[in-house]
Amino acid sequence: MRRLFEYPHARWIFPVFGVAVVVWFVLAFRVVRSNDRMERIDDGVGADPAAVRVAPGSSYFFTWGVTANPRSRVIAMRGLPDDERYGDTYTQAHGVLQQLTDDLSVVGLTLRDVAHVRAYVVGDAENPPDFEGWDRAYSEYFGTATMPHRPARTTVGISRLFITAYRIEVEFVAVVPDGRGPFVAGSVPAREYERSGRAETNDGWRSYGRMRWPMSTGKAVAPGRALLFSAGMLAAPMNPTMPERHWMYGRVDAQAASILREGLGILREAGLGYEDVFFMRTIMFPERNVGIGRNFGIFNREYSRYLNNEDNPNKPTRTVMSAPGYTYRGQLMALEMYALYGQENAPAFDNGPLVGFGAGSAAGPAAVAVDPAAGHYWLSGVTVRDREGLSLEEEYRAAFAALETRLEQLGAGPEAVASLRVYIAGDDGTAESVALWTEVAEAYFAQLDPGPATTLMPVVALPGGARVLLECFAAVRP
Amino acid sequence: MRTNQRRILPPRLVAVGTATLVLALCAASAHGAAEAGVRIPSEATFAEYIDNLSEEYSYFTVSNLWLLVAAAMVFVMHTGFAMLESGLSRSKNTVNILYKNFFVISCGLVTYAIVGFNTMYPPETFNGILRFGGWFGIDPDKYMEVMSSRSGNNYAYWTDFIFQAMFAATAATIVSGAVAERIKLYSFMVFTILLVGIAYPVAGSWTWGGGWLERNGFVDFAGSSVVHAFGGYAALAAVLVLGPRRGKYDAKGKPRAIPGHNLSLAALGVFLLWFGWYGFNGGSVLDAHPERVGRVFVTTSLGAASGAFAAMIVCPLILKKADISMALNGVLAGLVGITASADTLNPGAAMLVGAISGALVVVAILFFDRIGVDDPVGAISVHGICGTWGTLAAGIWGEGKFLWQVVGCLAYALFAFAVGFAIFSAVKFVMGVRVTAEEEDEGLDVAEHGQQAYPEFTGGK
Repeated sequence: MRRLFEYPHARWIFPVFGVAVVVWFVLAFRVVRSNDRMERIDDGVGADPAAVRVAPGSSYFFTWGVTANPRSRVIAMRGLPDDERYGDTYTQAHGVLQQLTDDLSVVGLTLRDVAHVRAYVVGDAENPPDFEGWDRAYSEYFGTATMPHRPARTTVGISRLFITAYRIEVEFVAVVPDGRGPFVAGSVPAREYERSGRAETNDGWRSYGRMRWPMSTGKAVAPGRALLFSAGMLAAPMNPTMPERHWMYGRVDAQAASILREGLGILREAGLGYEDVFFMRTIMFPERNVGIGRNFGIFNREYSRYLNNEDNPNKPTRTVMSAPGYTYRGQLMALEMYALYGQENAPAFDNGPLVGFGAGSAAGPAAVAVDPAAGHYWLSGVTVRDREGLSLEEEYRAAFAALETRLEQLGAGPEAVASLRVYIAGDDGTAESVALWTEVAEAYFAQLDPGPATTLMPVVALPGGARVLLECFAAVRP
Repeated sequence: MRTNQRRILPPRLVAVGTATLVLALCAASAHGAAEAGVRIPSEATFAEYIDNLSEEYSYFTVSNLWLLVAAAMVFVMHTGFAMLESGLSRSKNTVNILYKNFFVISCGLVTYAIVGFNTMYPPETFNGILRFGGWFGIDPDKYMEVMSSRSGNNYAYWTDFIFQAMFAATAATIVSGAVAERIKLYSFMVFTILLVGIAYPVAGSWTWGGGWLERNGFVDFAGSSVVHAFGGYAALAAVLVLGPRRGKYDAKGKPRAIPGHNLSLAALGVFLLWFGWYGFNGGSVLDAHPERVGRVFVTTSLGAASGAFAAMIVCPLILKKADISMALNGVLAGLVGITASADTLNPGAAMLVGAISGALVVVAILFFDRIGVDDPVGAISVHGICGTWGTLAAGIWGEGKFLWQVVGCLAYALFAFAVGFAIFSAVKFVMGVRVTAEEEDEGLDVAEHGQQAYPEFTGGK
């Protein structure tokens, strides 16, 4: 073979090249990996960690719920077929994760800093949610050779998103590592923020996203602030003494007004107001023959009496979706809020890291404030793995047992749970499932003070055919 | 007169080349047929569009226009490269240099349309490392979306393509300078097609297409590593395989200076490059945001100026003379260095980055000269070394995380070197890469082209 290499005394390049490869490998795969404020806790089952522990006093970044084409403002485009316009779940999941990567990079974060991923996959009885497609796309972003990090994750199947062709919506909760992010003076995200000249209604957060939008695409929350998680709020009955199965909750505008009024009451009780709400999740329950858009529009009219107006210019980060929910009894929407305390008005956490406000459901208070000095745990969705032959009630009890086991691994008990989101699915009849769940949960949480802020949401389907899934956020004093 | 009309093209190459071209054209025309169904907006909808120009659309229009202007300015950079390279090489190789430069820009645009764009910016799913894309056509259902601000971008799809395509050709141009005066024309062409058609888009997708480096927070604003270091280290591999020009080193291996034939052209080239760089960096904002584009212009200017400044100080200290080619390379070094972080640096940091680049390039050129890497225009030092430095600087004063900047610039350097080495060795094995000694002495203009750039001056054979 001819000599490929003409220049013998430049052979040094090969050892240099070899050393460089080694250095690159060590750096890329060993050294520059982690976010110091986060710790993964694995239980050896499945690829997702059991939980992610976030160090006390961390700064969070909450993203909005991202769908396939989040920037699209004009929804109905004439002359284009509506279905399949954005591709299948797998394709859309890629677009969504890419968008979220971009949204994170605006605040100087990467996928490595994500603590919890919440995914809503669209489906119905005929076309069950494509959980497999979502998993496939997810595993090309997380848990790869170049991005070994896997956050805690919760996946549920819902009925639809803002546009029929959207198949998936994803929210991230990310943790800002030390020395980076919007709250470090002079950093790029901080400069970017100052440049935008935004006025916030609470100095504890910084909004990102386009200025002119009625909402922001993400909120960075300052370190060391107490958070308030609300339970899922539903419209109050029009007649408080109405008999079972004769439900009257009024029309959609009345329900929206009722929920927002209730929300204000809860916030007031917690010493806050709508100026302090940084995140809002609206779950629309589908009415027959009425799109999610119309009811959401009506909700937004009521919403703008409290937020995004002259008195209160606050534009929380928002997520909207549609799940079966309580349509069966005429309730049309639910609302969850995350709010933030200032430096001075935070409650005194005398009896542990949680303080409850208001009477929500029997299973817990209407809102729970969380001590920033506690360690935070974001748990992956808990389901019952071995549910062969279990009745619905047994599965519900087993889910609690599984949650308790997992909390024990983290060195905590059920009293540490600050926010609990319960998704129930299955063919057992929504009304019956809800009644059964409520019974089980009441018994379980009766002993706790304050107990978690709980959202109970009937959904379309859950991964692996589970009939109940618990998504849990817990706080434990170090 | 010498017979230089021997065989211009090896028959094997002709066969392979023709087959590739036919296949590419078939693929392109198939896509063209599919695109016949594209709903091109009718006049009425455009009239409607103009009537309904909101603030957002006006901004879109302005940004789009700025990007097109920037694309044209990046195109001018190719003029700059051509002038610089021809000016810094000997007059007997001028035609060859110009020919190669025209080939590079043409080949860059064509390959980018056929495979490059969709490989570098995977339209849908992407595992973060590699996804080969095809023709750059548009999904008809998304036509109006990607052509308007609804896409979330401040430029139309067409604009995006042409701006990025102009970048693509740059990486190969860098190699062209380093291997000048001794490489076989057709070997260079094959090498360029593979480098710019396949290797560059793959590497580019890691940072700009949502790939693994981007997901890990690696920052390279306009391509210190993605474009320049990539070209620089590919050039290093090529030069090592190719060997130095005849007469560059004496029997003891001591380097001799081979001065370029026209320093006016070289200086003109650098002025044009400096001008074009405003489009290269300024356009990379991908937006006509007044403050950001303004900042990028300032940092770019200061980087270039302080690069020249530093080279003008360091070079006389080392060489004891005010060498113009070092000053020119100082400008380019400053520009390459500032490219990775032009959008985030403060003016002071920009000057520091540019100045260090300018000093670094003088040392690097002398170093490579000394160790037997013959690089006629200093491309390896300017683009490779200063590109790496600029990327690291983005982790020191910019928004990048330093260790990930190290990982990223190593990844680019290693990948470019390895791929460049592999492709060039393969080309060498198949068709040879170097002209014969006689051809080299006579000059590639006559040997490869049968033409001369300055016939009156050299006796007009």
